[in-house]
Amino acid sequence: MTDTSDTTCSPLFTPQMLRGVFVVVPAYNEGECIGAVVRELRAAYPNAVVVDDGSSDETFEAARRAGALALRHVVNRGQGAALQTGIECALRRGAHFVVTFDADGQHRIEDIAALLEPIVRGECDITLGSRFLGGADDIPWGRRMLLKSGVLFTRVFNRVRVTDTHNGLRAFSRRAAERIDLRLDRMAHASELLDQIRASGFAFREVPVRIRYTAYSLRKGQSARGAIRIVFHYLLGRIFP
Amino acid sequence: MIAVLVCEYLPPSSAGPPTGFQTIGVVLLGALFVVSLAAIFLGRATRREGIAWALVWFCAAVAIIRPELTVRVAKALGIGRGADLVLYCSVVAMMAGFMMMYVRLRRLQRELTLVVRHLALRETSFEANPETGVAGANQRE
Repeated sequence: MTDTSDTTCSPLFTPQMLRGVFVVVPAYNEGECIGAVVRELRAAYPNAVVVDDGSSDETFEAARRAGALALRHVVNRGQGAALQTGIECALRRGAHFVVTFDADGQHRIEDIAALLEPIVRGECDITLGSRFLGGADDIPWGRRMLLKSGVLFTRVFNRVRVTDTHNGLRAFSRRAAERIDLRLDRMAHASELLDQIRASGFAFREVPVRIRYTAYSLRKGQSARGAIRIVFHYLLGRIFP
Repeated sequence: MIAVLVCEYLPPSSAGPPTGFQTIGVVLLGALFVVSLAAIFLGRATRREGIAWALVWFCAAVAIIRPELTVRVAKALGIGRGADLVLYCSVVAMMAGFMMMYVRLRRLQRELTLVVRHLALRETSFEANPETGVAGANQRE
């Protein structure tokens, strides 16, 4: 895997361009680490939008203190809802590029540049991070099985060929972000998003990214039982739109 | 009340005098029948809803007074007993009811999300972020 950390210095990434990048971070009870994530993000991308999804801890305050544009859902509405709120906020503030980024510190800031590059070059409108394209050597076995079944599910139900469907790191051009309208409020939004990407007809591309598996991010991740619930929500959402 | 009148019009049951269950059932269903129709005039239910419910109570009362009628319908449909017919019908009605509730719940959740989102977006439009300086109170959303 190539090191993308110095892409931010390339002529594509001018300070003006970077101001047009809005990184949307949905966060639910991430008070422990959201501050560090936002500070790290803002060192490269000044516009971080954190959507506190009705957390009971100090997520909102921590994000705001770290310099993020913090939004608050007064009651918990789920990750899909939080993402949609963040995307709408970014668009209203004139974003040229929207990046979605998980709050638990599992993504690497360097990977954002790799995701943005094809979009900035105008080669495609959507890029999706894939942990299986890059050096996927450190993915815990249980995670790998769960994610692979997610990929299989996606091939069957969404008819989209991707290698990693449940990766929170994605980038959109403005016109692509404008077409996103997540209605499945909870975790089934990942599949819904793929449906919308396919329906929108915009070109998308997968970009290798690395996931930092920590005890914290694994604890916050989905269990197999959660995955079954998500499939159920998704299918119900297809039956009753 | 009306159900009692219905008793008069229907030919007497072959089973003899009404049982305790029949008496209580008919009185309760008659009351529900009246309440359902009254709801229309009091503006608590639409005309269609009120009449639909009144019909349900009416049919239930008839089934209680003249159980052999349900047997006849059941036989015609190939179901052995009248009680089974009633059971199947109520299961189907309940399933339909659950589905309607689910659809309604979904709509309600969707609306709640839109309200929560609206509030979240509105809240930020009033305050400038101290560091980024993005958006102030006077910036139009």
